[in-house]
Amino acid sequence: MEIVIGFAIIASIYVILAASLNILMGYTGIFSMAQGAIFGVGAYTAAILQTQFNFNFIFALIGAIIVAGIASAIMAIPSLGVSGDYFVVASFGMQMLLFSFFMNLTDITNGSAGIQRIPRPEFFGFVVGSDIAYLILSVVLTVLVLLFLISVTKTGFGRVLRAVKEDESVVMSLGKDPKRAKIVATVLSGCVAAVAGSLYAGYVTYVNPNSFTVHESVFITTLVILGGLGSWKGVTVGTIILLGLPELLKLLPISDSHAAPIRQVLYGLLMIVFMIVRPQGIFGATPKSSIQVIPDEKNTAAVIGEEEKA
Amino acid sequence: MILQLDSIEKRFGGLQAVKNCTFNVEKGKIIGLIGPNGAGKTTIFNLITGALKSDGGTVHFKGKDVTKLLPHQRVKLGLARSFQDVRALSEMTILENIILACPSKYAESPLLSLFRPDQVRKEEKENIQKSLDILNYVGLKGKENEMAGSLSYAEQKLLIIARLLATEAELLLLDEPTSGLDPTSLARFIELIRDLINKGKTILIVEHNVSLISEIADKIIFLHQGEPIAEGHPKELAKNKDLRNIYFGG
Amino acid sequence: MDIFWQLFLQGVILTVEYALIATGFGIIFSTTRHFHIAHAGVFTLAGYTLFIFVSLLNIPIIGSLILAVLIAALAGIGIYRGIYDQVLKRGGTMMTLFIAALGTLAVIENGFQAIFSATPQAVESESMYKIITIFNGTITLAQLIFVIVGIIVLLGLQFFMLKTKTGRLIRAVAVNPYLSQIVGISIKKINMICYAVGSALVAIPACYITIDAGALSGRGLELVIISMMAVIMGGIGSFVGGWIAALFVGMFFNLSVLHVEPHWQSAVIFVIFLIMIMVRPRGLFGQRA
Repeated sequence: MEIVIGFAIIASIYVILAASLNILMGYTGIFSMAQGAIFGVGAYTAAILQTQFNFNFIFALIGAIIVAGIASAIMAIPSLGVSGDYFVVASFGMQMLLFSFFMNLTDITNGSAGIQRIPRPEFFGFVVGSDIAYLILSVVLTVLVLLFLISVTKTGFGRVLRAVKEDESVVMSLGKDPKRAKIVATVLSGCVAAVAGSLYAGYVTYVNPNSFTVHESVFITTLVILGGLGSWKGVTVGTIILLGLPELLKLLPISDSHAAPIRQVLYGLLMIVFMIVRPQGIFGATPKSSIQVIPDEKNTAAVIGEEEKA
Repeated sequence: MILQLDSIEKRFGGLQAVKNCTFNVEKGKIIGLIGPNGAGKTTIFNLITGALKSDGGTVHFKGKDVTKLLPHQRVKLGLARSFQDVRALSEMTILENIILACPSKYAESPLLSLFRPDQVRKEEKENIQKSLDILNYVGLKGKENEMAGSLSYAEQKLLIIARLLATEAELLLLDEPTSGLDPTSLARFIELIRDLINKGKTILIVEHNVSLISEIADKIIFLHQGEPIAEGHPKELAKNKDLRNIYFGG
Repeated sequence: MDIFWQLFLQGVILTVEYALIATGFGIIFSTTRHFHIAHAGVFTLAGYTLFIFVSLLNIPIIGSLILAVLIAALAGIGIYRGIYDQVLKRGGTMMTLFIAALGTLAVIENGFQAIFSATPQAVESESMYKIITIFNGTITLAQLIFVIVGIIVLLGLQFFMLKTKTGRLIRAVAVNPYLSQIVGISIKKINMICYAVGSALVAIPACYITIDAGALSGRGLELVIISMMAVIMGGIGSFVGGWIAALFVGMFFNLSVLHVEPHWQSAVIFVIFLIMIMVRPRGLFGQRA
C-alpha cells in the first residue's frame, strides 16, 4: 500500500511536469529541452528558501515560481526570435548551464552534495508528515494546476497560442504579437514546473543536481509526447500509464543497475514506434475549439464549452 | 491621405526588388496595384505591413511614421493585410479564426485574465457576437463550428474578408483576393468590396484580373520591375499602349 | 611558455574533435534539415564498436578503426532509412522526427550502458599510448595520428564538396531542396551519402576518445550540443565557418583554463552562443534566411 501511495505522489509530480510542458509543446509548439533544469530551479529554490531562510512551504512555493519564471524568461527572450531549431539548441544549452549552476554554485546549492533535510510542509501547525497526507497535498496541487492551465487554454490567450503553433505570420497579420505570446507561454510553463519542483523537494526532503539532468528533460518530453501532445487526458492518464509500465519491470529478476537503462531503452523504443505509427501519442489530437456555437432563434447564443477529442 | 509611401526600396542580395516606390492612397478609395509577375507587388505589401524591413524611405499611415513598427503594431493602428495563399488556420474553427482577429485586451495576457475573469468573459462574449455578425455578413452563416481546413476555396476567400473586418482596420491590403474564383463568387466578392467602401474602409488591392480592377478601382498604380511607372484612372491607363506591352508582352 | 604550448597542443586536439563532430552534424543538418540528435548515439556506438573489435575480438587496431568508422557510417544510414524515413513517409513533421531521434539516442546510449555498465571500457593498444615530444610538449601517438587524420579528412571533405559532382549536388540540395527535386536529383540518395559521411566523421573523434579514455555511453551528447552551437555560430552550410567556430571553442576550453574555471567554460560558450544568435542569427558565414 505504501508503495502505491509513494507512486501516486511521484505520479502527481510528473503529471504537473507533463502539464507544464504540454502548454509549451502541445499548445504553442515550442520544443524545449530545458524543462528538467527548470524543474530543478523550482526544487532548489524551494529547498533553499526553506532550509536557509526558514520560509514556510507556501512562500517557498511562491518564491520557486518567481525564480523559475525569471529563469524561463531569460532563456526565452533571446532565443524565441529565431527558428525552432535554434531554440532547441539554446534550450539544450540552458539545460547544461543550469545544471552547471546546480553543481558549481556551491555556496548556494551545496554542489553535488545537494541540499538535505528539507522540512516537510507545515500548515497552521499541522505537519504534512505521513505519506497519505502528502498525497492529499500533491493531488490538491495537481488538480489546481490542471484546472488553471485548462482554463488558460480556453481563453483568448489559449487561442493565440494555438494559432502561433500553426502559423505565426497569420497571427502577426491579425494584430497579435507571437513573440510575446511565446515568451509568456514559456514563463507560464516554468512557473508550473516550479510547483512540481516544490512538491518534489518537500517529499524527498533532499535535492541534488543529478535529479535534474538533460535525461530528466528528455523523460518529461517523452511523457508529453507519448501521452499525447495537447491532450490533458494524455497528461494525466498517459503519464500514469507511462510511469506505471516500468514498475512492472521490477517484478522481473533484473538487477537495479540494469533496470534503469533498460527502462530508458523501453521508453526510447516506445518513442520511435509511436512516432512512426501513432505520432499523436496515446490520447493526442489537435486541441479542439473552446467555443461551440449553439444557434437559437436569434442566433445570439454561444456557449463556451470544453470539447476535447480523446 | 491615409497611406503615404516615400522612396521605399528593398534589395535581396543582388536583386533590387523594389525601388523609388512613392505613392499615396486616399481615404475611402479603392486603389489597384497591378503589374507583370515579379514586379514586386507582394513585396511592396510586405513593406507596407512591416513583414519586411525597407532599405530606405518611409511609410506614413494616418499621418504617423510607421516605418519602424512591427506588423502586429501596424494592425493595431488600423492597417491590415490578407495573404495571397489565404492561410486559414486549418486546425481551428472558422469562428475562432475570426475571433482571433478581434482586438482584445486579454488575448495576450493570461495574468490579466486571472485577475479579472468577469471582464474577460464579457469581452469574449462581445467578440463572439461580433464575429458571428461578421461571419453572417460575408456569407458564411451556419459554418461557425466548421474547421477552417474543411472550407471550400471560395469560402476560404470569404474568411479572409471576415478576418480583416474583425481587426477593425481602416486600410485593407488585399493580395489577389479573387484569384481562382468562379463568376458567382466573384460577383459576390465585388459586392462585398464595394460595401466595405461604403462602411468607410480604404482598400489597396493587388490583382491580375485587369478587367476586374478597371471596374472597381478609383485609381491604378502600375508597377514594373519594382518601381511604380504609371498612376491614374483605369480607363486612361488602359489606353496606354506601352503599359499594355509591358504587362502582356516580353 | 611551456604550459601555453602544452595547452595549445591540447587545444588543437580539441579543435579537431569539435571540427569533425560539427562538420559531420553540419553536413547532415544543412542538407536534410533533420535534427539528428541521435548523432551522439552514433558517436557512442563507434566507441563501443572499436572496443569490441580490439579488446573482445582481438582485431588489430588499424583494422578495428577502419571497421568502426564503416560501421558508424552504416549505422547513420540505418537510422535514416530505418527510422527517420519511416517517420517522414507517414506524414511526420520535423519535430516528430526529432522526437524519434531522441528515442533512438535513448535506445543506443542506454542499450550500451545496460550491456557494458557505466564503467569506461578500456581499449588495449600499447602502441597508441606511446609518448611523442614536440618542442617540449608531449602528446600520445594516438593524439598525433588523430590530429593528422582529422585534418586530412576535413581538407579532403572540402575538396569533395567543392570539386566533385556529388559534392556539388549535396551543396545544391542544401541550398534549395525543392529546386533539386524538380531537377530530378534523388534526394534520398543524397541524404544517405550525407548520413554516411557525417556519421563516419563523428566516428573518428569517437574512436580517439575511446582509445584515450575508454568506451563509455553519455559522452556524446554534450559534445554534439556544443558542436551544434559551433555549426550555428559558424553558419549553417559553411564548413569553414564551423571550423573557425570549432577552433574558437577548442582553444577557449584549453587556453582559458588559467582564467576561467573548467566547470564554467561550457556556460561561457553558451552565453556567447546566445549573444551570437541574437546579434547575427545566420552566424559567421551562413546564408540569410
